[in-house]
Amino acid sequence: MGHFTEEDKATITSLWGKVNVEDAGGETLGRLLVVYPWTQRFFDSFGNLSSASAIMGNPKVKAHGKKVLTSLGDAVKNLDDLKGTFAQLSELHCDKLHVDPENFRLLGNVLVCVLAHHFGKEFTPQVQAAYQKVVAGVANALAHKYH
Amino acid sequence: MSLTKTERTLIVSMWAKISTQADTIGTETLERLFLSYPQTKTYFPHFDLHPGSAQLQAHGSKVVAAVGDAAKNIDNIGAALSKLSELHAYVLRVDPVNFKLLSHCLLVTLAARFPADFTAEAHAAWDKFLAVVSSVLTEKYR
Repeated sequence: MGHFTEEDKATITSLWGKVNVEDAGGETLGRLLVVYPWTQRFFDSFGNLSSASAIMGNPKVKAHGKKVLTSLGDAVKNLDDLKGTFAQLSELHCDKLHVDPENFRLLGNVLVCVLAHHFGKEFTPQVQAAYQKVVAGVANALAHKYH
Repeated sequence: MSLTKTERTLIVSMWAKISTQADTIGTETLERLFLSYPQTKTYFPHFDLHPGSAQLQAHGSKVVAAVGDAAKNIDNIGAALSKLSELHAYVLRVDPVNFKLLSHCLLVTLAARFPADFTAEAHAAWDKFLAVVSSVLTEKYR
């Protein structure tokens, strides 16, 4: 799939070092649920998702967002073996969670928006390109074990 | 899919800010598009696509101006972009998947440049607005 140059890896790792995984995680999952409301279908047990502010302030959304982004941190450390890194999570998302892989692509793009929002100018076109490779790689890795 | 009153207000008010930086926003959006999605360059074999190229700047301005037309005519985007819709259907024939890619890159540009304005609600409104614009531009494809 996507190949990461040494330059890509340096860019990706350096930015990730400045990411607050808890905040960014909550922002990313929250925005996914706000911008693409049909994704709420997976989160019936999360309580109040009735408005953008309810979603963004929801403690379960924040906690789960942190979990998801922590996992993405593993991707950053294993860019050369995303399929191996996410093999078990892939099975989980298919067999137990029944998540359409299209949702991984949506989440990945929301993360890119959140990073741009947080880092502003620093999130240059080059940095974005590197991160688009990461989110595409993760989405593919998570879909890899589907059957 | 149609825009609510609240969404229209958000889009129009943000457009007022965007319009002051329209040209650079257009250029940056295209730069992001070509770097993140190199396959989109296949539509521009006749262009110099180096950052700072005059063609890139001119084209970026055009794209953002069209988005502005849609924003200024938000109650009837179909009418405002009718000619552009025909252009895309009969002449340019850009594969529909590319409208999502361009829309995403514009959103990223807005997020980076307008942090205070790019709230979750604004993000949702703009994503939806750009989807409406995209569907207008592809509605005559077949």
